[in-house]
Amino acid sequence: MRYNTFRYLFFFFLLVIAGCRKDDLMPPRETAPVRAMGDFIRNNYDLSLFAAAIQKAGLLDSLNQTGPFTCFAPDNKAFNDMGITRARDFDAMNPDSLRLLVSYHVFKDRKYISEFPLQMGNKYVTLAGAELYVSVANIANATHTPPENRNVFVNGAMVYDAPKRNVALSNGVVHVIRKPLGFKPVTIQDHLLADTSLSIFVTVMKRCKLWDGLKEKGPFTVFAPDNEAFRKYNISADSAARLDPEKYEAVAFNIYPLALKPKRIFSTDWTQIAGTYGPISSMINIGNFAIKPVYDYNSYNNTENVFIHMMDVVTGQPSTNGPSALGYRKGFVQGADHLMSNGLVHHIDDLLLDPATLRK
Amino acid sequence: MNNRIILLLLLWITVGTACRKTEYTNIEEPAYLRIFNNLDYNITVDNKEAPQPFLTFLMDPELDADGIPVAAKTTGDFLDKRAAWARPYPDAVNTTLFQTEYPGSAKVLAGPVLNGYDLSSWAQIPSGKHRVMFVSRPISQVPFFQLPKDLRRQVIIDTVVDFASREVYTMHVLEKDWDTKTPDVYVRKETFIHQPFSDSLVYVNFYNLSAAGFFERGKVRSTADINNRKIRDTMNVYYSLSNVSEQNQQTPVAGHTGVLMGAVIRAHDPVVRPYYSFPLFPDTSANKIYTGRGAQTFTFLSSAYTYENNPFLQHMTESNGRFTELRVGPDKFTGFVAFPMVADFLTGMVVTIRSGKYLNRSFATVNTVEYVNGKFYLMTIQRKYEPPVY
Repeated sequence: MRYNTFRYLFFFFLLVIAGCRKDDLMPPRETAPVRAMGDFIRNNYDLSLFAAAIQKAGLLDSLNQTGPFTCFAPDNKAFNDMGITRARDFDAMNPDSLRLLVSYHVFKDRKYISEFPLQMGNKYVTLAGAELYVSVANIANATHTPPENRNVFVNGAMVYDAPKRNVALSNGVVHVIRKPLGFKPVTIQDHLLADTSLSIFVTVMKRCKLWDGLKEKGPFTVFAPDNEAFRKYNISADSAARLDPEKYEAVAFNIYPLALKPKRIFSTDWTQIAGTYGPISSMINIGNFAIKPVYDYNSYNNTENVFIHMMDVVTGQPSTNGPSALGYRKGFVQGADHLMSNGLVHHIDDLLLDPATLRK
Repeated sequence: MNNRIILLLLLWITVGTACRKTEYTNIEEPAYLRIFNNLDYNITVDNKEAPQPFLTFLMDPELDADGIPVAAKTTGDFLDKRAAWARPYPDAVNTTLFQTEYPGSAKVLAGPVLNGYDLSSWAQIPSGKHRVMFVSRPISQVPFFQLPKDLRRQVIIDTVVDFASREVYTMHVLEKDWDTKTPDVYVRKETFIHQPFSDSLVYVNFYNLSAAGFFERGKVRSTADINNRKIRDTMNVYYSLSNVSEQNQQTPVAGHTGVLMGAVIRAHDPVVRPYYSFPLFPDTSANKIYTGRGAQTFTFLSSAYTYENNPFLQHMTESNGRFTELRVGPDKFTGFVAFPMVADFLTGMVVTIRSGKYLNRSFATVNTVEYVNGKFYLMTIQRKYEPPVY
């Protein structure tokens, strides 16, 4: 009996002692510090070209400051599509314009994707001083999509889905985008003049009295075909200089600057608003024709389908006055969405309408 | 003895804590205000940067140094597009966040029954001059003043409105011009509370509050859509009444088919248009208590046509604004009209409700039909009725 009591007591005390283990449940005080934006971009394999551009522009330290910043970072694929494959390729660029370009990708505030309102063209002033346009379309049932999963485009560049968006850092947030944002602080007129491959287009705009408008406030959207496109339709520099716009219907040439109506339409806007099945009235209507810029991204295969369709408003069918489909010159990444101080220019590889079919 | 002291103490505590003084909100010299947001454009590539038609109404806002509202005496948040039918009883019992009108379900001091009209869908506001602001806000569930500063600056309307004491106002946010999409505010001082309306007639008046240039340049339909959704700036309206059977078949009420009411003219001047009427019990065989399942059809015709020589039918082609029909009727009763609308569950514009000892008793209402940019909206105002006895 006594023996048993001792035994019980022994086990009882054993239990008491064993039950009294005090775990230190406090986490260690030093967790791994969240990195600053500059360091994150520099150490990310997929953003190495963007990091090189930042380094070349001398902005890496600025992005390690307190901020907060929001950075739209083009990945290496984006730069590859521009023809930039190595860090060395940035050496050929003018350091001042590179600095401007890089700082155009950053604005001073911390904005996660869910904080962009359901609105096309939310404006944010970048470190370059110019505004960029973040678009979130209020399509049907958009309010049922969780805000952080919405389709967001910046100046026609797609923001990738998670985990390439909302990368939270100690001094801001990074969203990875499909292509570098193009911005030049000059007017559309100056941009067109500077590019010798657009000389026939410039002549045509001058002959049609649309040229002077392109230095006004705008904003304008211009589809600019290159000289080769004009030559395909037997319009040379020489014949363009003698072009008589009176002999053609107005739409034949004023379709390129969208009749100088104030519009700022990025290559992805129509698809973002209308999906890929929107009616003709939702497209860019000029005269009896409608321009349908399609940007179709397949997130499963990571492929994209980008082109411009020309529609005939009267018949509701693809246009027969010229090509029914055309592309951006040198591809979507290089050709589309060149933002200027008074609008934007899309470089295209074909004429929108064949002028010969639109003679009066 | 001790017990008695303790009891007294307890009693004292009970008496002391039971005394709660409730301060009732009271507005001296109120005006009554109801607001509708008529902005209803779809975002297209043409107007893509136009502010979203999702608004916050601010009265007497307080602005900070940058001109961004930080507080307001009265705030009507989450003001979404208006609903087709503005019901005669308030939204106050529901808990939806997005509002189809102000006050909607906002917890405000509602209007009283004034001259026999139920103003519970109107909010009481202090009369006098007030600064009125409408701000386009992001579509989210965050209350306006908790939004980051940069999302509170898109002020689309900033004006001063003078409200007279004990008057009823209906305020609309409208599109002034179809091409520019300029927003505009329209404040109508309603007169129905002062008019000698009979309670055996149903009254209705008509407004066309479309944007200038809407008929000429507006696009409301693609080829696959319903015909006749646009009306010209000047139209005549005719009413027809019909009885609707349980099988949703309609029979016209004799003597009430295609009766001319008057003209509907597109205008933004805030003048009350004349009220037209039709009888509450048009069917002579009715028992004068419940009018029976019924529908009201309003036929809009351009002045070149009359109801008798109207060549248009809804299932034919587009009339290019010369003809359309609005039918207010029971649920599931569609018929083939361009604008079917469900108002009262049984009787359209006539409110049928349990009253006194009757399960279904019909009451006349005062209605306002507004046509705005390809859509019809109906506002029904109910008159005082006897509460039900169970």
